[in-house]
Amino acid sequence: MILFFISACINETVRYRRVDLTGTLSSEDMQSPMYVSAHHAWYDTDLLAHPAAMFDQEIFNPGDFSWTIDIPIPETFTEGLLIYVWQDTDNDEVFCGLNGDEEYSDMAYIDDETLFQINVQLTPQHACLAPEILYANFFE
Amino acid sequence: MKFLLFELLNNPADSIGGGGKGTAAHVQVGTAWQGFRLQHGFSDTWGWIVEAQSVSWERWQPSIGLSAIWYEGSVRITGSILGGWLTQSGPYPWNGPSTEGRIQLSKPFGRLRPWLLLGSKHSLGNLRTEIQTQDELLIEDTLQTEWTMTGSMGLAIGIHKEWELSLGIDMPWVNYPNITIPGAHVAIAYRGAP
Repeated sequence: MILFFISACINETVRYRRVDLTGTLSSEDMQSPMYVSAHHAWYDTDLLAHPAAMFDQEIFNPGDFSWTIDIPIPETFTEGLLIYVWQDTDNDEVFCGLNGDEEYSDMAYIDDETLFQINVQLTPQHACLAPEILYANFFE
Repeated sequence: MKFLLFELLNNPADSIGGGGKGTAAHVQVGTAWQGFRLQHGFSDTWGWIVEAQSVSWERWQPSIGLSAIWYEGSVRITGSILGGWLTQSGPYPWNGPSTEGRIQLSKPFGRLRPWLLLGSKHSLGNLRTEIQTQDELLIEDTLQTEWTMTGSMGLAIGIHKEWELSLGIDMPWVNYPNITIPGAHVAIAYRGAP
């Protein structure tokens, strides 16, 4: 009875859509790790609206990859899915860090928000472009 | 002379300091804590309490409980235990049963009566996670707990017959270990005779 009473008390419901992401991370450098991140293309409204809102990140080796992501479905407005990758060629864990290599990034934009299976082909080729700039330059 | 009731009568009811025989009540407004408390002492030691607290009109905690006088001398010390419900709207919603234990202390100096309240509040609730996969909707409930410590102190001033004005500062620690901004309040209190 007590457990039923307590279980009826829902503070908040958080919702996700689980997507299986597969694809290829291509590079001439097959040794350096790839940092792959998932972003809402747009998040929130009015003054708080901003692009490329990251919600998950994982490290993969170049080549084929498979990743299951839970895309948050917040109360506020969101639009689109971005998969962003950059390759850590100098192994400093920082994208284009000071005194480091010129590193490269790439991005895929998925606007169909009904998919549960997504395949992307990513080839880091844009020098030192962060996800917001990459999205603004190529997808907006 | 009636404002000296507290000193002249044995075990007078007192909602600010807590305890006492008879009925007492107060209404409190402030930033960010508001509320009211109604209590009735049915014996020299024991009494019941009905109250509701609000924080910024977004967090509400109605409760009922029992209080007992632990020590009555130059200083009155009372202990109370309450059970109720905590509901909170806004960016951090909460909805679940709550309990509270508190100790109140007060000492009269004529019309003036400094008081201290220390309390601990606990509440339970659930975070529900819904994951829509290609084949099914997965639902998982995770138990959440909240611990809020309260600390208030102030000065009650006899203003007219059985009425008091109380000024207080609130130093709660809502949802420990989060830091909470201190507050202040003013209350108008009625303390009845047995």
